[in-house]
Amino acid sequence: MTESEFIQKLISGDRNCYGILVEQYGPKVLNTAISISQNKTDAEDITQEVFIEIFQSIPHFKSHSKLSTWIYKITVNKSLDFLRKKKRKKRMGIFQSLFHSENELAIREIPHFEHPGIQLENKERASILFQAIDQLPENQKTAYVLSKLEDLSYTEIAEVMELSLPAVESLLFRAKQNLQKLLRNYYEKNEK
Amino acid sequence: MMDRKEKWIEETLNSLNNVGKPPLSPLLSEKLMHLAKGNSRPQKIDLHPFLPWVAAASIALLMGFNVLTALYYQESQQTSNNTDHPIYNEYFDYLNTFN
Repeated sequence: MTESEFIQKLISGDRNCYGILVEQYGPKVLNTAISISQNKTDAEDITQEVFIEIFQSIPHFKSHSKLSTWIYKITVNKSLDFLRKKKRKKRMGIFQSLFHSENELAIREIPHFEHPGIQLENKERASILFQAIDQLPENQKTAYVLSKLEDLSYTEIAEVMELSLPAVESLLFRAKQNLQKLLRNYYEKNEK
Repeated sequence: MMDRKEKWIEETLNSLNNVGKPPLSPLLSEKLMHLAKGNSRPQKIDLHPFLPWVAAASIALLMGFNVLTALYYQESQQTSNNTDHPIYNEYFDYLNTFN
């Protein structure tokens, strides 16, 4: 079955195709949402919101982009919206911003996060790296997560983020540089 | 040759290589399938419905303890005023004789 046939069956309400869609894209959506939100409970909520959007918008899906690109685009947008809302709530409650400079280049103490797919021997280091990823600007964080955790090609990332290929390359280069700086600071502070 | 710090940074950056995708929990899978089977206007289902109740119960318990502690403290203060300082009581009794 080609992708356009599959989409046509989804639009016509084929239950089996919905099952295949959940089975095929559910783990990808959850993994992306976990990596961006760094919270399993939040990621499960985001995954539900993504599938609600998919089921509601599939009749309007235009076949000029791939189904996977469209789903990743929804997932990234929902995850970032979720994070923005969460940050806004936090800012209302705590006057944290008064004491932290926005440009401070140090890994801030955030709740310990363990990605469920990380191998045991890498858990400690991955947790430090996730804290650093959380300090990246939104677009660098998105590009890095899609590249490193979802194994998307630069072309696919460019389609999901609606950017040019050189822009994605530049984003990933800057993301890696910033992560190196953050990790260097962390190493010096903790005297490994 | 790479020094210790640079080696640690490189290894930390590589710690996300070959990360597996976490499977959907059976509950989440079921919810997603329910969304698909549902009507034309699917709605989000709370996966953690008891969380707000647990939080409310904790706050109620805390407030209860506070009230009990305050009552107990007030009672003990009254008792101590009457019994612990007989000399004050005698003094106030003496003053009362003038009224």
